[in-house]
Amino acid sequence: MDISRPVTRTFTATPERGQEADADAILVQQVQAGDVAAFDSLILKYRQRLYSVIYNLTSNREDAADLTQEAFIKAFQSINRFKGRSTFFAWLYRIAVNATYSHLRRHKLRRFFSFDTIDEDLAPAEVLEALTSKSNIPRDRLLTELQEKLNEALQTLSLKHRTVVVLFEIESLSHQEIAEITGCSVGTVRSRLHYAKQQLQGKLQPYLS
Amino acid sequence: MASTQDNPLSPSGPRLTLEQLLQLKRSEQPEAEFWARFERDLKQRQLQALVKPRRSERILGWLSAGRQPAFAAVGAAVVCLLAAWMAFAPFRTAPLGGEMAAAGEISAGMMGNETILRAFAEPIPGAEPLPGEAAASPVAESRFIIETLAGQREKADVNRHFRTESRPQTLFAAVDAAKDYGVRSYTREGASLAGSGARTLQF
Repeated sequence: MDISRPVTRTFTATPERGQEADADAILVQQVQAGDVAAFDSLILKYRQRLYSVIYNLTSNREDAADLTQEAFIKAFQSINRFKGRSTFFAWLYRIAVNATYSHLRRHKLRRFFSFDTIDEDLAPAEVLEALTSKSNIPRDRLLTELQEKLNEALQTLSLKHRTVVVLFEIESLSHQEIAEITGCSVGTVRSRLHYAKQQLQGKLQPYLS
Repeated sequence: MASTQDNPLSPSGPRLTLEQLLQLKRSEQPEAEFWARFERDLKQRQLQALVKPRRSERILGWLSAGRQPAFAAVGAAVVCLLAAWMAFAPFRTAPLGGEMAAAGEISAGMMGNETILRAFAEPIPGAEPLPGEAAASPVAESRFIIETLAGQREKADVNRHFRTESRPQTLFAAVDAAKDYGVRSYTREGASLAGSGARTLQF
């Protein structure tokens, strides 16, 4: 995927996303005019989402932090070349995904995982309920074990399949948005998602109905 | 830690879908102080990025930072090396024919005419003397070489060295004519394009 490749499609999947894109465009113009502080607003807005994407692709929180910063620095350095042919959001995600791909390819032989802790307040109620029903084993232990299995299963997917699952199922992006970020067609996104979920179903079978 | 993998969830509890399981990933969050550290580190890197020029700018800066004399010297050295290479590089060993097709029009029947005789050639010192070469004038030697080649046309992989003082085109003509006598290739060694030098004729 080449981040310098012109993007002809732009997505504003929802009205909220459209408003968000408009607000971003104003901030980008300010940064391009020399207002460095405007970039801080963009960082504040996107740092958590960007970190989450990278963290879920790498399953390593230190790498994710480093790559998120790298993505912002690259975006900052290249922002004068951003012509608004795509939304800033998609452009930034493309930079982040590219940086992550490069990192994972560079370090594919020495990978290790480090996970963030699960915030039980944010965990799906159904999952917590299912884990609570298990007698005599503490829930946090079950939760940790499930987290490990889930991350292991994700890491068995190829990078392109993992990217689609992360962006769709975890980050709740649309097929069209993912297509733009990954530089492939919507059909390809759908087919990758279908295949990836089949793989995950097999890996996580003991946890599924 | 005792594994719960065999029976991870209670049979009496709700069963989960893949989507629900994947949503658990959303609840993996960095600790509270993470973002403060992140912001601090990012600010530092951002400042470095502002101060530190980009690679292209560094290269342009390096080029324009009063290094013109150094560049002139490097450029001159490159030109000298290139000229030296052109002057002294050996000819590649080339099978006869192909690029010498024009000269190939010289046939065995034309061996005695002036075209061939202009290819002044004589054995180089130390090379194995050929019969009768001592008494030969350059013109006679040239003819003699051709005749010698003709006499050895049945022998394969014999190398002889000759010094020539001909222009390359003339040499090509002579050598190309010699192919009719079994010369398969020639190599030019250590001579300028138009000057003298040793040639190996392989036949």
